[in-house]
Amino acid sequence: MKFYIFATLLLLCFQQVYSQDYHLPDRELKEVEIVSKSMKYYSQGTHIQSIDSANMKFHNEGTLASLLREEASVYIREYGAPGQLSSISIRGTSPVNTAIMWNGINLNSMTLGQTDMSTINTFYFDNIDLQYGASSAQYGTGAVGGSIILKDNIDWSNPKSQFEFQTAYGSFNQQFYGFKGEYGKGKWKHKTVALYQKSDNNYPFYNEYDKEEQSVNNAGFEHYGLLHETYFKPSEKSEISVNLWSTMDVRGIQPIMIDNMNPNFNDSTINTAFRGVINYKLNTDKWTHISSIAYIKDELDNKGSIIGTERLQADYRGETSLSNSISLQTGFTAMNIWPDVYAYNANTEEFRASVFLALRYDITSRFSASTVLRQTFVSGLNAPFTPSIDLSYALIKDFDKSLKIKSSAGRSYRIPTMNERYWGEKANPDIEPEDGYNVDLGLDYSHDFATLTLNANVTGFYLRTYNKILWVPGNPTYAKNIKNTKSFGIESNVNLGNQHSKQQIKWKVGLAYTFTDAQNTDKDKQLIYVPKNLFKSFVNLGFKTWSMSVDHNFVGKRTTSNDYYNLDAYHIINLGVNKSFKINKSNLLLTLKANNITDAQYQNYEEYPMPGTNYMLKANIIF
Amino acid sequence: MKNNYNFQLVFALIAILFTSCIEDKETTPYVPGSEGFHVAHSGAFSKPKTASVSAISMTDTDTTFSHLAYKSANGEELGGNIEGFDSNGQLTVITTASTSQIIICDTKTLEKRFVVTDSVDNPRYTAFDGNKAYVTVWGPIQPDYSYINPKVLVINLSTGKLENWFSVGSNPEGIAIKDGKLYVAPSYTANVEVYDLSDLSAAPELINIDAAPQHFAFDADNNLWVSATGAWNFVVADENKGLAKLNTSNNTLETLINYTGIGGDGYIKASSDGSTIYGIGAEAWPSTTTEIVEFNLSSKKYDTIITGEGFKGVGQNPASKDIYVAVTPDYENSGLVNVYTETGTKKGSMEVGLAPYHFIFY
Repeated sequence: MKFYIFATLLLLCFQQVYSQDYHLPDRELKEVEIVSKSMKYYSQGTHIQSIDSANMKFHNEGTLASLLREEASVYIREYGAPGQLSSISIRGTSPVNTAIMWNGINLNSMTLGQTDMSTINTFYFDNIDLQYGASSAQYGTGAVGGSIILKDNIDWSNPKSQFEFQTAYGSFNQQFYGFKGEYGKGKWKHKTVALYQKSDNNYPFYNEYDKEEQSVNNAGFEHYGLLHETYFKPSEKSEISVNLWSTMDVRGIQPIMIDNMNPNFNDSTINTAFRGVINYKLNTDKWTHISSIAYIKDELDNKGSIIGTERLQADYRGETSLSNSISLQTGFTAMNIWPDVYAYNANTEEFRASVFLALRYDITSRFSASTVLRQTFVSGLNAPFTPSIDLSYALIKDFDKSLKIKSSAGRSYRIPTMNERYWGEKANPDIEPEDGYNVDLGLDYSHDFATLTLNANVTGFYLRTYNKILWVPGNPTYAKNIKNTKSFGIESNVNLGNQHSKQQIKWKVGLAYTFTDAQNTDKDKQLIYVPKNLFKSFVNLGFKTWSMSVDHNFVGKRTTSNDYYNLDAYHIINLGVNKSFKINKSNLLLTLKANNITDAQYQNYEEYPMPGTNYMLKANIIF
Repeated sequence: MKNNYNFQLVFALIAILFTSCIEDKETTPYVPGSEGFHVAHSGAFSKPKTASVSAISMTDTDTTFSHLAYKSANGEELGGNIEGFDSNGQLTVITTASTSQIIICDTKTLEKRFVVTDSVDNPRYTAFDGNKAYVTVWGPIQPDYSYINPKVLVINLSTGKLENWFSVGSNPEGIAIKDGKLYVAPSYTANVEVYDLSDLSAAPELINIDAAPQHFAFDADNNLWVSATGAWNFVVADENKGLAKLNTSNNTLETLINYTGIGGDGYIKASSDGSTIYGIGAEAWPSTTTEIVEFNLSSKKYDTIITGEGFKGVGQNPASKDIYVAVTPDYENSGLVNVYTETGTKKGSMEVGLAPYHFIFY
């Protein structure tokens, strides 16, 4: 039955597209680009941080974990060395409470509910949006603490091919080899990214149990990845694309400090993932249609014990302008999941679908409001109806300065993972979804002086979650709705620079401070591994073909499960020097990085020491 | 005036910033009382720093609670998750699983005397005989999570030296000594092994109980009882689960008080006068309904006297006769010690460390 529903939705998805007449679009379309507004357009009241390609260029030999650790107001729980399991906590929520989206696919594992951010290398992408706070109405399940949207753009306006090679070498035998190409002509465009990365991660640390200096054992990793996208425009009004992305991560599991010298505790995993998406976009007189079908297969192999899933997903989004000031987007998603997990009953599978409607009304040139409504359906579960509302009002809107007040409120939810529903003899398919809500209120101020540009923003938030699902380490292990949590805090940023001036020496400085108070409602204690205070600052300097940057990160104390033991606060200072060269028509960028230059000893998860001072030399050539 | 207002605002924000940090909690230094008790907290898996020993000390005028009593007494952490916590009245033996240590300390002051690590791999529980301690050891873990070379270590309590060791059945858990015989509970077998203390190299006698033996307890008449359980990889018929009485004169199974609800840990503890034995039903997992049962050793029946969630250990205060129950709500937050009357009426509760497990009263 589910198959027929699924097939019908698939047919509907494409039938919607083919049943439209071909007409030139009449609204907000670039000359040769078919654009449907992203959900960001309907989230104007929320705090969204965009990490652009210029910024990512200095971090693109690393993973999403290292990028966000340096750039975002989030806490990354790293189980030791770069390449080890890394998960994210936004606004004090669990790693399963962040949705990570690529091409309409939520990359979070259907079995584990989260994405290991060490397996996502930023070299694949051109820019990233990080939306703080609940966005379940926009992105569906799991978008409770925040959402990360990974973007890899194609530039139709540039008819020339462009290729990029990058290699990097660093301490602990870090190696990186990457290729990125955007090529094609006429109606065809292609983008290919291939990379290989490895590190032995055998860095020194002081083992407080053995009371001696040791090198970390069994923490090395290798990452292989290939991303290919082909775009075809049969007409100015339509576009077909195929996006394929395959990765494999082979890694040792870093032992806890106490077991570092005991090879019997050495373990390893192989993560493989394949994501394939076919998109069809079409503009008609009134509507922009985007439909897609995706196949995703992921697998975690731990010494022959397999935890994996296959899913088939169909999406449709249609967008129109009801007037010059009102935009409407609506659509649906349908997905069937086939797990391959040794601890599930045979023939376990799950069907999920959701419908949504997003509406934005630009009431005046200063004031806009939007709402997004989503209803999700899951086989055997009742998912909550999820509304959100966003408001934005420009208190000041002059040619050289602006001040916006923004607010959003939304319900959030997380469908239990398949492990939480189907694992073991005590499988609990009726476990309730996590439920909650989030309220934001923020100010955003920008001011262009004669030579300086100032931007400052501050956002306050309050977030509640109910029916938090925790694992009960029983015999066998099972999941259960146990706790309620609440968190509140502020996120603030100030950036000042002369980067848009004509002065020879360019500079930019920035400060970011985040305060998060997160607790279980039944206990007066900060949630474990959630720092109350995060502080980041940077200074960038540029002179002709040289540039340098100094980043400082402060992470406050974090509680652990022992009330009398907190992870110490730490400061990390990173230094980077860049030199660009013009060689004929090619651009060569050399980067030398010195990370953790004060050799701070710190941990992001107890018992897993992090690297001290380390270096990397990177060369990137674009031609 | 405006500048003054702005200054106050900035000052207030900075004040909020610096008062909103996470504070390190201080604990009361440990000073032994005329009487009191210790609670051992096993801590969370892979997090050795979550293990600790806390103490309640009572004097004629005061009662103090030290959350980190062992650290206070010795200036250092235990350095591993606690498994066993046994005392002969003068010395306490603490075994740590993750660091494979056998720590010998003074029962009252908790001051460390010796730490044994030689030949120690995953130590478990201890029996005492004069100045010797006999400690069960699972052996080194293998890549498939099994353990090899299980044994019992013989340690001289006066010197802290390993004097002898001998191989036993797999995953040896409880251990007891009676009348020159050493009783070992290899928990992955269906037998209690009986060794002659005068000749430890001799093959043991086996007492088949048709269940996994776990822990021993002596009653007031010095009869030896053993908990009989099943495990996830060792299916045991319900009729063989419960509390088994061993006939130690001919080393046979004498009788069984059938209790199908007994937890896989097989946690049992004799009352302070040995008139009864307390057991824990169901697994001591968070949010799992558990119970404390009282075995009537003469009628061969049991009564449930206390129910609740996450019960992990039990003991009776010999002075007050109150029953102390160690509660583990979850593995991310502090545990509790609930205090009940002898008949199971709750008297109070106190917050302790993570995953409280064993009690020693002095």
